[in-house]
Amino acid sequence: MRDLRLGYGDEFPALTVGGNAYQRPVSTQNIGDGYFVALDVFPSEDAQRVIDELKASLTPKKQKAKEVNPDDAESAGSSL
Amino acid sequence: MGATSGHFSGAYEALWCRRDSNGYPKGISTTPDSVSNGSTHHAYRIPGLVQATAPSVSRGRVTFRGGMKARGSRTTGLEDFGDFTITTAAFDETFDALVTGSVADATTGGSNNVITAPNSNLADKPQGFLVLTRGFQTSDGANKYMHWIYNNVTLEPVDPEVNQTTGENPQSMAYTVTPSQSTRSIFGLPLSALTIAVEDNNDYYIRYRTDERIHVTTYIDDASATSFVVGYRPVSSDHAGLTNVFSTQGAVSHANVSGFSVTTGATTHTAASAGNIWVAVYGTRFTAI
Repeated sequence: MRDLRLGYGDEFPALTVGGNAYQRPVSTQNIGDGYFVALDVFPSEDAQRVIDELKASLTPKKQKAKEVNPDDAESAGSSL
Repeated sequence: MGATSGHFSGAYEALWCRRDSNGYPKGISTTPDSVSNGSTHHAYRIPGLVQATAPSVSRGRVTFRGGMKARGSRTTGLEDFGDFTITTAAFDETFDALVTGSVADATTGGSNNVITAPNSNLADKPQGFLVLTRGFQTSDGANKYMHWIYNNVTLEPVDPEVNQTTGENPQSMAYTVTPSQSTRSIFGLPLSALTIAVEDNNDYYIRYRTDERIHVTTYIDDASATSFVVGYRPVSSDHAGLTNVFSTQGAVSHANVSGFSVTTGATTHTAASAGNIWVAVYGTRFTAI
């Protein structure tokens, strides 16, 4: 199950970095390999730390996803 | 279609976005000079524009008189561009906090409630672009839009009176707009790159006539992604300079864009160097993506 704060490709996350619901348009931040997060309008002081944690959480998951289906990046993203 | 004539009507849209210290639009970032590579930022659509007064411009003039005759006069240039007021039917807590440099606190006063304040003691309010869109009908009868794009403004809230008045907008919100000059336009392009021939390549605003209303998205390149998503559905997939404008690092970059989806709002482009600033100014009817 993918973290609700993670978006992938053209699929936007359900929640912002701060865990809040939002309406688009929303500012976003790429965090690597097609993944991105939605930024809060008024980010909390630990927003960057949360982004770094979300980014770090991707590494093993991306590897696992590639092992399952290395030719289909989108399916890998939605399976996390 | 070249320059034309026509008639103004209506108050359709108002957009606001921060500008960084180099004059680039940076959406609603509260730290426009330190945005991350790979981030996308969108202009804020101000709800319910009612009206904007005309700027109170004052210009100097000297008259010459002697021998009981008027001997001539000479204008001595702009003395003060002055300020003006925009009025909105709605009070938008997020917008108010953005332009006053404060925060809409949605936690401390209860998670169902929000606290805002005018930030009265902040001398230098956040600087940004302000886009005011009115209708324009050409003398040939074609309906278009004309955008007054202020290159560098600050806004101060003017709270409405409390009253018992009925009717239309009895307690509308207002903001005093103080314009300043900028050498860079909302396109990300310097005024020197536009062929408008203004003195010193520096001005308070530009006017922009388009077929559609417009929106603005800024993307900070991360040197790898080949797409970013704009805020609303574009009306046209144009990326060749017909109606949508793409720039990178202050230069027109249509040659680096190969696709622009009218459904997903996603570009297809060639990645530039990390940190390069992309700006997309595109026609939209504000359909959500």
